[in-house]
Amino acid sequence: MYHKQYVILGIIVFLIILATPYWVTAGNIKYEDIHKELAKPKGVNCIKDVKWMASNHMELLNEWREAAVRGGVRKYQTKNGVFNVSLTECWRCHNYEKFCKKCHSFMDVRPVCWDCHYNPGMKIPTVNYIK
Amino acid sequence: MISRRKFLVLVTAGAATIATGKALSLGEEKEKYTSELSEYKWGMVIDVDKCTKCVTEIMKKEGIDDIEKVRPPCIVECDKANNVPQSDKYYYSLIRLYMVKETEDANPLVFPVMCQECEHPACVEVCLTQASYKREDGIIVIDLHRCIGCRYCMIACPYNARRFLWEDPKELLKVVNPEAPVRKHGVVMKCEFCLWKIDRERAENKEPKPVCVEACPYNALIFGNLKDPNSEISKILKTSKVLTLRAYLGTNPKVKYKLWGD
Repeated sequence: MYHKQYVILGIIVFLIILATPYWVTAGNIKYEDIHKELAKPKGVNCIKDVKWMASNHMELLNEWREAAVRGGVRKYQTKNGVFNVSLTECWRCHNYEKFCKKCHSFMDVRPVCWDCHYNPGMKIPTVNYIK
Repeated sequence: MISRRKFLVLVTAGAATIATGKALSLGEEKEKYTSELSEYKWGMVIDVDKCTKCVTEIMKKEGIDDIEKVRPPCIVECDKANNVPQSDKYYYSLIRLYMVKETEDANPLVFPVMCQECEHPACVEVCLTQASYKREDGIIVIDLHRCIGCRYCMIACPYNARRFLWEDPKELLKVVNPEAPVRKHGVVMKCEFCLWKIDRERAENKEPKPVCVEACPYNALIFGNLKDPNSEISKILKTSKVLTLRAYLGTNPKVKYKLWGD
């Protein structure tokens, strides 16, 4: 190999530059656990297993959307009981601002649901027609 | 040795047989999807005499000349329950009142016209995204998740029953019903017989009633299941003479108008 020392030096410099993101932030990354900061829900049981709900609630809501709009299904049976197929069912137990919105903004998730659906963060008085 | 002519004839005949068989069996395989909704067929009978009385009373009492500005309890409650915004620029209410006079000096008749829930809906035929569709229980529903706001359905509808949301309802609404969609500007809305309410009540084994039916002080609107021979609406349809609007179009609406008394 010609100019061995320069080649190896070059490779080392290249690797150091490549790894910049690692050694610049070394020791500065904190692990934040949002779970502890979220408000405690009022109820005992969620619609499904809590762990499953935490990661898959959006899929459940998509399933509910199809069931309610297309199939006219408004009750959903799980092993934890019977639930109304409606977004309002969420904040019967959960605080919208301190639970839903807090985690969504932490994860930088912007659900499009609230473009058209009501959520308690909208600050408009509500009426209830279902007795 | 088989001749080329015979070979070609055999191959073509075989292909034709397979193709025909497949086409026939495909038709058989198409099973119609049925659910609990197939037991119902929602309909409504509107007593025009009672509506006329109610509306003319309001017009006299409040001194309104324009029929579009009259707001009887059914329209007020419907707007509130279905998150219909109020605007000076456009008429958004899902029920529209029409005053009909046969001659200049005749007594007027007031027809409240909402979506007629046609058996053969023109709006569903033209919908590009299949957002408008006929549910098994006969209600025409707009899936707002799919509506692109092209307004073809509004052109197709012979009853002028659909409204296009030109403005953002969130800015115009003073109260919100969380169970019904708030919607966004740029979609079409229509009367869906308070689908969110009647579906819930049906699931809870109560008698489903849309908001306008509950709000009417004269009991002029009768809602019920047309498939059930013992329901109030079926009995009324058996004994009274009713009218369907624009019957010549063959849309066969499920909203009927009772013109002659009992």
